[in-house]
Amino acid sequence: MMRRHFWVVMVGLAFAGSPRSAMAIDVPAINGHMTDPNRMLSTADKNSIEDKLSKIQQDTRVDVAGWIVDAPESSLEDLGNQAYKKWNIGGDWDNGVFLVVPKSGRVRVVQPHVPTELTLAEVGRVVAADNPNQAMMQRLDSIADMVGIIIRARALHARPPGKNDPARGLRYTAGLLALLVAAVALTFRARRRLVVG
Amino acid sequence: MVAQPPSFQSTSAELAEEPNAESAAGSSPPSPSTIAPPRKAWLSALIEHGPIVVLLIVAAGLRLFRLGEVPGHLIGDEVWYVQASRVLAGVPVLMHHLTGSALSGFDPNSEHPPLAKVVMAALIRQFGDREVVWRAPSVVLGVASIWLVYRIILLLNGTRWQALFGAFILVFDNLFLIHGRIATLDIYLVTFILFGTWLYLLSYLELAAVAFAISALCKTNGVLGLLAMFLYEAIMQRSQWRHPSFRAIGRRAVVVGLFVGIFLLGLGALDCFFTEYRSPFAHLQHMLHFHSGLKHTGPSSGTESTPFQWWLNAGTFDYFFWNGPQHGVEQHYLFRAVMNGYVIFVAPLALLYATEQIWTARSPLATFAVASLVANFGPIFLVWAIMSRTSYIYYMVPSLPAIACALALAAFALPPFMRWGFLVLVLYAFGFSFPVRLL
Repeated sequence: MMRRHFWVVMVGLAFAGSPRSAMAIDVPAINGHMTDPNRMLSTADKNSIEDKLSKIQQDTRVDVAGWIVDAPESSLEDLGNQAYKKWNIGGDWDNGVFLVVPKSGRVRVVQPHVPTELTLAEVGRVVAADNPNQAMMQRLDSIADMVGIIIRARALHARPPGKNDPARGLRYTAGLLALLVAAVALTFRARRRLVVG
Repeated sequence: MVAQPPSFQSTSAELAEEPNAESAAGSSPPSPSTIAPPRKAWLSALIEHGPIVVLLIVAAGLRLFRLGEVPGHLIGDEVWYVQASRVLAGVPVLMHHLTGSALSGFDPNSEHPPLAKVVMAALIRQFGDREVVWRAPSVVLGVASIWLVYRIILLLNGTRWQALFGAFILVFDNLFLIHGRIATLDIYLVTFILFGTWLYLLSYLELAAVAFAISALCKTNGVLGLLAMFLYEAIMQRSQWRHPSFRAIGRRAVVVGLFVGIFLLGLGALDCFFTEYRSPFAHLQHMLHFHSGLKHTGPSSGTESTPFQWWLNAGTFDYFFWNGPQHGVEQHYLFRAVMNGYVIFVAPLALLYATEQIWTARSPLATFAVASLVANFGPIFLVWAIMSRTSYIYYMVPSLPAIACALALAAFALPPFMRWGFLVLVLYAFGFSFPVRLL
């Protein structure tokens, strides 16, 4: 009898510790750029991170969003992909960077769109910017700042300069000025003739 | 009754080569008995200019309202022209709506002449890459275009009330409003056409050619402004067709020559400084090839519509629809391409009335309204009908001043209560379809 109870408990524990149980976490309804279903952020902090991520999106047209989740690290990738799809991240411009921020453990960067916005090395910089020992808001600030720096630097760049022909342009301009002078002279000559007439 | 400026009679009289041409009616200086008693100068100025100043202030206010919103986003065809201006200005830019071959300092939007984009680029370089910077010229030109329509109606023997009525229509037309506040080429085109028209009616024909050429250097349709004036003169002087004045015809030939010369030399200069083209003809060929390739057959879809639809205010679309910075928050920002419903629904009747007035009353205002509409709308309709050219509702923007003139004429043939009622309806439709709104 004891032996049977032992196996029941063991099997139960095995299931409890398996990724299946993590998959049982439902993807909540989206709530802004940074979805925080467990309300780990204060209202002021939530507004602050919303503004920061919104500004990155405005500047770069790259959809940056995140989800603060209380789930094992091994399940973050799957959960992130599910949320990315369900929330239609990057739907507007066919791009997106999705940050799955676990309560404990480092951030996971999910980028299902191809080509990805961040390279592997850049993802490494984002993950390195996250310090799980800090308060959640500090972590989010560091992560968002790093993502912003990388995407802005990537997205905004001047085009290589074209080679114009100013000498030829000046010749056209000289002809243009001559015609403008002629137009002024002709119009006032015609008007004077009308007035005199 | 507003005294007709002498300059207008000069133009018509010169064409007719007779000082007592019909258009000169009322041009004689007022006799001492008809001179109004002296009034305080400021009071006279207030009565004379106050209403249009108020209208222009309202127009400016509407165009400046939330001008910088939505930060970081482009509205309608700004995605082409602001992006092109940024590349022209050499500022860092996202590669949206740009080809990989775009080069700093060059206009990547070579399907249109570069002048308007060069203006925007210069402002971006000087004042920074911000919404209010690249939209500011549109606001200035949008308000200026209303003042020009007011002046043009006065020049065409319209009364001050008619001029105010025409200006009112444009202040509260939704499509004209939105193009007077977004960074697209149409308001540059329209305002310089109107400026050229004003100069032309003042008998500054050669300077008018310069204005029309500037308009064409912003968008090639600027040539239609000159066509409208020739059509206007041809109709007004139809009794002289059999005995044309060769001097007047010669002057028009010079005007055409100036227009062509200034346009080609201007395009050549702009091309050498800001594009890969080294000859205006090569650029013109490219534009012709590009635009003749824009074809649409079958039912309208998306933003595309047919010129027939525009007269029913159909074929409208949203220039910009924004879900807000927060996902899932039910707040939307909307910019809509739609005309004022009452203006466009009544426009055909007003234009019919204007056509009748051409033949019965030989009205300059009626003639201009019809000529301007035929010149600005006719070619767009023809390229759509013959070549299946893709067309959009905002192609009506250059025709709206003509419609405003026709309405100003027709409204004063109606009893006052109908006129005022119509203005109330225009305001209602304006509010109903206000194109810049939070939902």
